[in-house]
Formats: sequence, structure tokens, C-alpha cells
Amino acid sequence: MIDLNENITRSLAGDLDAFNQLVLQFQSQVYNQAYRIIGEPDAAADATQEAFISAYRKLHTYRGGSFKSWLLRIVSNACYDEYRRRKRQPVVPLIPENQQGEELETASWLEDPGESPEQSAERSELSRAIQICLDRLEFDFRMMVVLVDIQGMDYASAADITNNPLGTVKSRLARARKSLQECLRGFQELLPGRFRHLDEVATE
Amino acid sequence: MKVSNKDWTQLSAYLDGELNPREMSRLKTRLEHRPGLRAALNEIKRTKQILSLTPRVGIPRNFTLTPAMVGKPHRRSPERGYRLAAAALSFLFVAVAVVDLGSGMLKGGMLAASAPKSEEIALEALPEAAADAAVAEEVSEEPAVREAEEALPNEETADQAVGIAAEEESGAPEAAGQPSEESVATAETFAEQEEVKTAPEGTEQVAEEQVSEEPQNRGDSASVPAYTAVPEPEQISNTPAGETGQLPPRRGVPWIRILEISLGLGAAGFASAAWSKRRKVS
Repeated sequence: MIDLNENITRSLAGDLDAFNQLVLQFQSQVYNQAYRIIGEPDAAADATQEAFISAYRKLHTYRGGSFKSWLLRIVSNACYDEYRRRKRQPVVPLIPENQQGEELETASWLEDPGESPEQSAERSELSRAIQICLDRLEFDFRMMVVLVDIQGMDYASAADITNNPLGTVKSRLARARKSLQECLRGFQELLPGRFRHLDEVATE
Repeated sequence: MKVSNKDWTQLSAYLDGELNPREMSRLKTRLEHRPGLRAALNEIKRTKQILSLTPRVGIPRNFTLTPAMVGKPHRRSPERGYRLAAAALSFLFVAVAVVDLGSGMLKGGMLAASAPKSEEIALEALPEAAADAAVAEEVSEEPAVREAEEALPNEETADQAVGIAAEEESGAPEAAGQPSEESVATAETFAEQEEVKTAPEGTEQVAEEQVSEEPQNRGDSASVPAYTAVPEPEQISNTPAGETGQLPPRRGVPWIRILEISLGLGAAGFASAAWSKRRKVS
């Protein structure tokens, strides 16, 4: 935490290396936030880069508190800009494609060198099912789910990042979860085995 | 049993620990008596679990910043500035044009009021001046020449008299310009009267006296009311209307015209620059 504050102070003085330390510390969370909201790797990378550039230029507006929340607010805005831009332009495929435009059967961008092929396949299938269901949500509802259920933030932080009242966060999150539940039910075969019978386990 | 949206919201917040104690106790009581609510709670719990297991994707690259990314502050497109400048110059152009037009109309009104008088004076004065000048010419020429020819049998003296008369003649045309037919006729009549007066006296001395008195005669003729009342014809005929109408002379292009042209060109230039920038962006 001391390093974080020190890097922020040095970054405010114009030290780019100190800011890059912050980038290295948070880039994974920021990119994952962008990826889950936008659903496309290249666009998510662009939004992440824009978010860090914007964060460096607006660092003087940081007034303490959670630096992660402050960063996620910036990347959320960048994602919203990207979302609006994509709405005006031709549709980008939600399913990852290779350079020939063919749908990727295995999500190679999700591969973890340390896991077995079965585990990798399971992860990719789950990730794919979740992403498809997230993409079916409206932008504001998707944002709530990503912030609370994927990034693990509380309602107050989500309200702060999205500039919404607490009641709005509650209701949007509940409706988003209900929609996701119905959507994921259609992807039972893509879910890991332990989730296919979760209904029965939970009912018991 | 169907679960209402309010119940869904309560169950969702309950799972996240976001209900206040009162709401929580009430929901717990309802959950004990309503199996449908419990089933809904389990479904939300399962969904939440799946979402919490969402794999974290690996980053495709590092997002560290370089001086090139942040060194140059994001420059706003100059299109907006060009458009503002074009609008401002257009406004100024219109304002100056209105002022110019207004002053032009005002001057036009003043001219319309003053020009007829000056033109009338000029038109009235010109024939009279020409007539008077012709009278003076006749007065100076005709009697002297005729008297000299009649009174002097000697050709030399006659030629002298004619030469003197011709010398005196030279002043009149300069002052009068081209006399009109009317003025010539008046001058002839006047000359005949003079001839009648001077004809009986036909000696050399008288002729010399007559010749020597010519300037006086000319001076006498100046005492004629019509002649003395008229200003010098040269001034009337050659003076621009602006001087007689109390208007300043126009020298070159007026400054307001230069300002209008500059503003118009500037507005057009900025507008075309904004248009070209917009085309580049789009």
C-alpha cells in the first residue's frame, strides 16, 4: 500500500516509470473488466490502453480512496465510449475469430500453460458460455454484473463507479442475475459438471 | 409460485449481504414459510457461483505507457476553432456591411438634398458667365477694331489698333470658354450700341484714346450687374460637385471597403479550412 501511494505521488510529479508500476499492478483487472464488458479482445485492449492514458492525464483528479475503484471507473467510461462507437459501426463478432474469419473452437487467448488440456477446455467453455450470456444483457446491466459478481466489488463501490444510486445497483443486479440464470440454463452442456446438477444439490 | 421482481431484488441483495437488519429478518421469516422463495434463492446463488468462477483472461500485452503516448497532449482538432473564427468574421462582415450601407444611404440622402441646388446654380451660372464673357469680348474687340479701321486711314495705325484690340481680346475667351449662340447675339447687340456711340468721333487721337481707354471700358463693362454678380466661370465649371456640395473628395478605396473585403475573405478562408478538416476527419 505504501508502494501504491508512493507511486501515485511520483506519478503526479510526472514520473512515468512510477505510473507504469501502477499499470503493471492493475492491468490484468482493468483488461478483464474491459473484456467482459466489451466481449472482444482487441477492442478490450484498446479500451484498456485508452483508460491508462486517460488515468495518467487525470491523475490529479484522484482524491484518495480506492485506487482500483478509481481506475475501474475510468475503464468503465472507456468501455462505454467503445460500446457507443461499436453501435454506430458494423457489428463485431462476439465469438472470437481467427484471421480468416473462422470461429475459434478453442479460446487460445484464455490458455493457461500450467493446466491440462481438459482443464483448459473446461475453462474456455465456461468462459465462452458466460461471455455469450453477458453479451445478451443490456450495457448497464452487464456493467453491474461484471463489477459485483466478477470483480467482486460491493454495491457502494459499484454505485460510485457507475454514478448510480444504491437502489439502482440493487435492482439492476437482481434483474441481470435473473437473465443470466435463464441464459446459462441453456448452456448446461458447456458448464463444468459440478454446476450441471447444482439445482438438485441446492434444493436438497 | 411466482417470485416478484421485488422479491428477486431482496433475495439478490440478501445473498450479497446488502440488506439492513430489519429487511434481513423479515426475509428470513418469509423464506421459512415459502419454498418458492427458497428455490429462487438457490437459483440466484448458483448463478452467482458460476459468475464468480469466471476465468480471468490473460492480458494480450503490457499496457505500460511510453513518453510518446503521453508526451504530446491530445490536441483538439482545429476545426472547431476554424468554425468559430469563420462565424465571428461573418458576423463582423455583416455588421460592417450594414454600417457601410447605412452611411451610404445617409450620404445619398444628403446628396439628394444638396445636389439639385448646386447643379441648378452651375447650370444657371454657366450660360450667364459665357454670355458675359462674350459681351466683354465684343466690347473689347469690335468697337476698337472698327473704330481703328474707320478712323485711321493709315494702315499701320489701323494694324496697331487691331493688334492692341487683339491683345486685349485674349483675356475674355479664357474666362468665358465657349459662348453660346444666345450670348453671341447679346454680345452683337451690345457691340452695335457701342458702335453707334463711338462712330461719330473719327480722329486718330480719338482712336488712340479709344484704344488706350479699352481697359477702362472693360472695367466699365465689369460694372454691369449681370457680369459682376456671376462668380468666375472657371471655378464653377471645373469644381467637382463634392466641393460645391460640401462632400469630401474620394481618394482611392475607402477603408471600410478594405475592411469588408478582409473580413469576407477571412470568413471564407476559415470556413473552407473547417470544411477541409471535417472531410479529413470523416
